[in-house]
Amino acid sequence: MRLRTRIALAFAVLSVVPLSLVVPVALRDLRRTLSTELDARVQVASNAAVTVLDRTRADVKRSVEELSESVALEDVAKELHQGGGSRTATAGERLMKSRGLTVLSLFDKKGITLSSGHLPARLGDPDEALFAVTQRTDKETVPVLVEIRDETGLKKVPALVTARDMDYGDVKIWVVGGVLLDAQLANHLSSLTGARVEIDGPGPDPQLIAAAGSVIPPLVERKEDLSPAAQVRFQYSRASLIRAEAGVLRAFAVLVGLGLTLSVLLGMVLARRITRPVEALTDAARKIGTGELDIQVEERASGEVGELVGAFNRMTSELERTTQQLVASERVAAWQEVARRLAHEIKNPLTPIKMSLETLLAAQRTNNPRFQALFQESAGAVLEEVERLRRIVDEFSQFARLPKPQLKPLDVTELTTQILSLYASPPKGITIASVLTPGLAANADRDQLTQVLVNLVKNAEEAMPEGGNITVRTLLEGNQVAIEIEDEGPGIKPEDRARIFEPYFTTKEGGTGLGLAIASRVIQEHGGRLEVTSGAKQGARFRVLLPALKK
Amino acid sequence: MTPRALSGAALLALALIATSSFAASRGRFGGIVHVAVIDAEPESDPLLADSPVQASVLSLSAQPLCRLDRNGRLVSTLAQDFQRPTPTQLRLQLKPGIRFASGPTITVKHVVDSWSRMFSAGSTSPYRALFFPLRNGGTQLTGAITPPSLIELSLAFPWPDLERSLCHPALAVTPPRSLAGLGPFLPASAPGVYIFNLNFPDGRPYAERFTLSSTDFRGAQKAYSLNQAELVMGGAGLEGSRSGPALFANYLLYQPNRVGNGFRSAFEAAVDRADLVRFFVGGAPSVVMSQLLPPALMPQNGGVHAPFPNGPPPANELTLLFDNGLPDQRKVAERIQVKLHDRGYKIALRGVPRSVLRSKWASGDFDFMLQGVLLPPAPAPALAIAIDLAGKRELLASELPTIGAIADQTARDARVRERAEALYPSLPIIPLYAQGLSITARPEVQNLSFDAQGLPNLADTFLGASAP
Repeated sequence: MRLRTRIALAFAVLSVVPLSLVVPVALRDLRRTLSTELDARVQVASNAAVTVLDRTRADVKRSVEELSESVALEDVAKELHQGGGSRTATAGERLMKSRGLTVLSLFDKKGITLSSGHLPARLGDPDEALFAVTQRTDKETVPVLVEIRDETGLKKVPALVTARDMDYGDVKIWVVGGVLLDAQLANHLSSLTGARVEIDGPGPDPQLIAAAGSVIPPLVERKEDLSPAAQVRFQYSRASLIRAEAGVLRAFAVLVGLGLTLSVLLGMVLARRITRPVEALTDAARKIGTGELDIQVEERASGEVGELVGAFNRMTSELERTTQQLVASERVAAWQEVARRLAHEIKNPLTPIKMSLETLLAAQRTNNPRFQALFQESAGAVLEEVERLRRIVDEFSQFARLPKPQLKPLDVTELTTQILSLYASPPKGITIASVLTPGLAANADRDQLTQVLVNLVKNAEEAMPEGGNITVRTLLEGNQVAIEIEDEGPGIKPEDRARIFEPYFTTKEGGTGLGLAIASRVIQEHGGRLEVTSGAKQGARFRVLLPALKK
Repeated sequence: MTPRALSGAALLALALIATSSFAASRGRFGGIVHVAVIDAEPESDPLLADSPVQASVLSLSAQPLCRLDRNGRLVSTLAQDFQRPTPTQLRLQLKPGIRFASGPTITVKHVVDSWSRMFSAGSTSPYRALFFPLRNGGTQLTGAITPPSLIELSLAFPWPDLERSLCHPALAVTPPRSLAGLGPFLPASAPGVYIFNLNFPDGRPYAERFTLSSTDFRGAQKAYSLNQAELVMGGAGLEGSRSGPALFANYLLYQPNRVGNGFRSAFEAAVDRADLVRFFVGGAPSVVMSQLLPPALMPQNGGVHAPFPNGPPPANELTLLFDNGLPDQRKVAERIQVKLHDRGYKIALRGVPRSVLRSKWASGDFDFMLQGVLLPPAPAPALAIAIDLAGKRELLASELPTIGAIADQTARDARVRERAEALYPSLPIIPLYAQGLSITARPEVQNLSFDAQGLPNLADTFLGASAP
């Protein structure tokens, strides 16, 4: 991972970690606070609802008491005393409405309905459930199930009722009145508490009698038990709490996101400032490695990095100067060596030439009868040595004027195959085998590479005057194309391997010592290298390594 | 000039010389009669205006061919010369020159069109049973009638009560939509106002106009006590009210395949008709019906019948239809709902307009329903209506010929009662109560009498001097 990335990540981690530690704690505290607040609100609302129910009980009690003592009821009793009439039958509805009640039945002492406000059609029938209230001695308002009707039929609805009696001579009237726990009450309780109010009937599988209000889940529920007739359920929404939590969480998330982004950006900026000189140094070092010594790092930096950049620049300057001196020295030394060897090479033919010419002069002077024969012999020797001198001069000229290669993408395997075809009829005793990997390509000058490979194969042949096997291989080694020519000759001594590519170094009789030097230089000009190792059995293995072309 | 018109002219001439005692015994023309109508909206279709109050109101502006007086004698209104060439033929003649108030002469076609409506799909009426003795059950009236003024009705079997049937208010001749006026009064442009009709065949009525206002019992009571209404019609009647025979019979009709086998037994056991009448039918003079026909047409015998089959209530919810134009029916429906609920029935109530109720009756699309019909004051046609109402029209073909074959009215009526009692248990119809019309009149309203149908003859009513 790059330094710049590491620094940016470090900044990100530094920004996120504290928030990650703080957010859960803050959320927990917030949740606790909001829950406490909601509990308090629910408690207040529930208390208000209970108060409403208590007040309803009290109102019912007062209304029924007042009704039992009213003149209107006395008129009904009077009519009953006189044998009854149509007004008695409708008294229930009339009195119920005037007293603000929603349940009212007038019973005789046997429990027969004299009039009913909430179910007029019950007239003349007993209503045991409602009349049972008259048997209570505490005269409290109690929950009971009351039968009412709607267009779909009769149903039982819970109500808060109480009973009072009235005596009028021989006529006794029981007044049982109250209010239905119906949709109207549910609406009232819902608007008061802000909760959804559901009034359920009795039993393990209660029937929903009425409901009012709507709240968004999740819910918290409170119950008011009105056994045996009903229970009232208050459902409060926790949605506001959840919303508040979600809001805070969102804010934290935004904060984390912003912090993360800013810290990453800041980290990248700082990392860039820190790593740019380092990267420039790395790049410069890489170039120096390739031999490009006139490199100066231009990046501005302060502190230790700045000192490093300065030291590096000084080092490259010094290195370039030293290298130039070294190269100059080496060049001089090389030319001295070349001159020495050239002189040595040229001097070698000069001696036979001088001796031939001196022999001829002496023979002429002495009128040696073999002068003619000696002349022929000496002239031939002189011409041979002159020819040798010409060859030396040509090769030296070729070595000195080696042209720059024209690099083009080249199928190395195809080129190798083509060269091997030249050796379809090798000298007697020589066999050439090839192990070629198809499709290997490199940027190369076809003519120069051909010359190198031909030279290497020819050397391999000459190394085995008694015959043997030559193996040619092409293969891919990493990002390099390798061409191997392996012979089974005497091989090259390890102490000679370091010098074998130097000009005029040869182990071959009659060799100029420039063939491998030229081959090595050609391969260097291609960006590759020529190396020699021992063969698998014996002999030598020359390896041409060229940068591979990516397909 | 008609007799009543002549008497009016004479009255005018004699008014100058008559003594005050002489003048007080005669009808007086003019004056406005204010009528408070309790719990009833006016209805212009005779087939639907069959509650006593509505039939009375409609009689101001639409009349059948004849009326039955208080003794049941036929009195011609639009037709005359009722003749029986043979027992299966009835000829009658429209009174000559009778015209709609708007001018055109009334023709036989107008009569036929009025009657034919009860057979049409949209207004099928149980009163079609009145025409069952005619050939083809009366469904092809056009072919049986000879225009322009002679009406010749051919019967499938002898039916001596056909003349009385034709006097039923549901057979009132209604003018086409573009015309107006076939009664003693004409509807004025103002709602509830009826002005005397000079073209009425019996001559102009005494009162100049009737002004009707719909109200409830308390409103009527108040208007009467404040002298703002001379007449109160409907309701249970105020103090001193009079009422005609209770012929508005209310039945519970049911579909046996929907309500289950035990329904009738459960109903009879649960619902006390006396309680219904005493506590819930407070709107009109009412009597218990424990027989197929009301007490005015046959004795009730205490309602003793053969036991009905028992059975569990159906699992499904039943719907009880009732006439939402009749407040009494709503109370009765609620009572039935409560009492059958105690027997395990879950019953929904649905109040519908009378036209819808009749339509559902005609199509058989109901579980059970309350239906009120104004029965004629003759037992035989009344039985025909009751049987048709019960959905057993096919029985008419077997029952009516044997009844009509009895020429003597007393014997025929006795036969009708006998058959009514015999048929009662087998018909899916439960008689509940019958109602009559209650009328309270101030002393100055004179000559107010009920006809045999139980309706007042308002054309003969006049305003006399106020009582001291």
